[in-house]
Amino acid sequence: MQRSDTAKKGMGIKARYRLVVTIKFVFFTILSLIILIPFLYLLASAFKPGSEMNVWPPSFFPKRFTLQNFRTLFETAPFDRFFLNSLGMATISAVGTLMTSTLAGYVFGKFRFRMNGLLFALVFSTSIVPFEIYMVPLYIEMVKYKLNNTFAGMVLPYIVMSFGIFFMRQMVMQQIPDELLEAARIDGCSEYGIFFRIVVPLLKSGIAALGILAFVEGWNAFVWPLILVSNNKLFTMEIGLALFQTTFNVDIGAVAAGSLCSVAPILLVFLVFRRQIMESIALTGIKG
Amino acid sequence: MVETRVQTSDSGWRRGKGRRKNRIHTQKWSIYLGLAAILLLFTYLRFYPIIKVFYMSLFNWNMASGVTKFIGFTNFTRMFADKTFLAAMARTIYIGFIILLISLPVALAIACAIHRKVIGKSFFETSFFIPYIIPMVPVVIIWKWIFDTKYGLLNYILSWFGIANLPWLTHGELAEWAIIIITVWKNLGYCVLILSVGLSGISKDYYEAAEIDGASPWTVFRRITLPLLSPIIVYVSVIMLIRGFNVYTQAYILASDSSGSPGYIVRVIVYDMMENGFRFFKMGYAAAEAVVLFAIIFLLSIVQIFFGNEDRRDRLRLRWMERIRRRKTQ
Repeated sequence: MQRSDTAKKGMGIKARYRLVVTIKFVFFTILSLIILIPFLYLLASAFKPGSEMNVWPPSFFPKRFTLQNFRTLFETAPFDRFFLNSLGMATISAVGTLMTSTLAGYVFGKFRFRMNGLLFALVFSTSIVPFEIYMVPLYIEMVKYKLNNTFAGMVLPYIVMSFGIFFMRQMVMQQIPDELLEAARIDGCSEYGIFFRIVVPLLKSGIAALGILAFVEGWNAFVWPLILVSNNKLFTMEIGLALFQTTFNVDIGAVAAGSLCSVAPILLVFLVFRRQIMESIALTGIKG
Repeated sequence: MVETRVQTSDSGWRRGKGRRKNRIHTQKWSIYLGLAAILLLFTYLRFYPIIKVFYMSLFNWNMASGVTKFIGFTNFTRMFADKTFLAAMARTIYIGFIILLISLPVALAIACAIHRKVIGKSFFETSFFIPYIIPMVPVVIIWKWIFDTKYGLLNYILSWFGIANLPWLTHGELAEWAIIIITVWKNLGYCVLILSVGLSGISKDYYEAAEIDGASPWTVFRRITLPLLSPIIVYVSVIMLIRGFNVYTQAYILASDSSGSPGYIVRVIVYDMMENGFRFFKMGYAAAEAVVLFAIIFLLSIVQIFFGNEDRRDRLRLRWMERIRRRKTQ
């Protein structure tokens, strides 16, 4: 029936199928190009002299390739320091999140005790509350304990993650059989021995995924460092860039170079661990 | 197969009460201590501030002068009489809904198209997803150049169509659109990803049944894809609305230099909150604004719980299975 329909139109099913696939391919190519244009523009701008930025018609590709922008960037502001601060923040946030989430997820997933359900529900329910809601009281707490303008205060809120606990609990429930834990207990292994020698190695893939997500989140942090830190020795890339671009008479080329330095590490991490990142976000949907 | 089943039921029995009493030699208390420590940290960094925001909203809490005085609901009455706040609120809700209205249909179309066979599928998915994972500040800086009135790429492209230089960053409505475009661009890949997951969860049986009936693609989309995907659509919508209502970094960067927007035209709720809290140190007032934002988000979550639940989806699935069965018996 269908075959004769399409035959009437003078096209075989195969040809029509090929046409659809081609149209889709062209459409998606254009779409992804549009989506990627800001990045290509950034990449091009970082390597062209600032004078080429403010011209009409705007030029996309650099006429004269230069590395001067990076030199200007590191000369005018301590961006090497900002970079290290960001790196430190991202790393500590990844390590901290992993430590708290894995243990809490394991206990919530495998131990039966009164309040387990309630406590977990409470922890999980906070994942819907955006940071902006509770930043004011948190800031006041930090001031009270003189943690404002310190690196410790900056990373502290990033070492727990409700989504991470949820994610790890899922992983533990899916991937760790009860029998294994029981066997280890019968063999006289201590509870932390079980955790570190059996549970953690079995959760490797989940740990990698969550670690990457937490790293990205720590690197991308903006609002919290912005309100907490005023000492420019503690600025992260994001804060440094946001304030640098507002300074009077700023070199646009240098801002482009700085933006590239901030985007590049995350882009690299993403391209290397693309599958893990997208799968873990797809799996749980909640956050990224 | 039989053996494993015996084993699991065995372990199920072992987990019973009689066994638990013999397990004195394991030191479970140590692991509970670990959990307690984490929960304590969590309480300090999450529960406590979230609860305290409600408490603070009832105070005249000024960090600059050191005043903390209980004033009841005065912050709220003052807030709803404040034209700046009301304008910020209206703008935020407008921006949030426009973001949703653009990104959801576009993402749905992309997800449906990419779900079937596409050459280079993973490349496209990756390139759509890149904006989502990238830090916000550099991205908004780039967009700011693209939106630039005099030298911007966007105005250049628009000039091909005879549209003269648009003041994207300094005109109220256009600046709102700049925020909308940036936010949609940033979150589109996320929506596509989540919707694709939802699509791959729909059984092929329905589509086969529809094909046998000779249903048109539009009917298939409207009668099968849309209803079965509805929980995911509700979920994505709620998440996107929450994100839209929390837009801040975009507005901050767009408004933060001499060539950028004047602060008042991109003032969204969180922007207003930041100004009141961290520029004028009116912490109680900022907390009251946070409470209003919380109320909105809470309502949205309830919407999601009621309309995005699995039950409705299961009921639909059952109805369809029944239809298929009826057709087969005929």
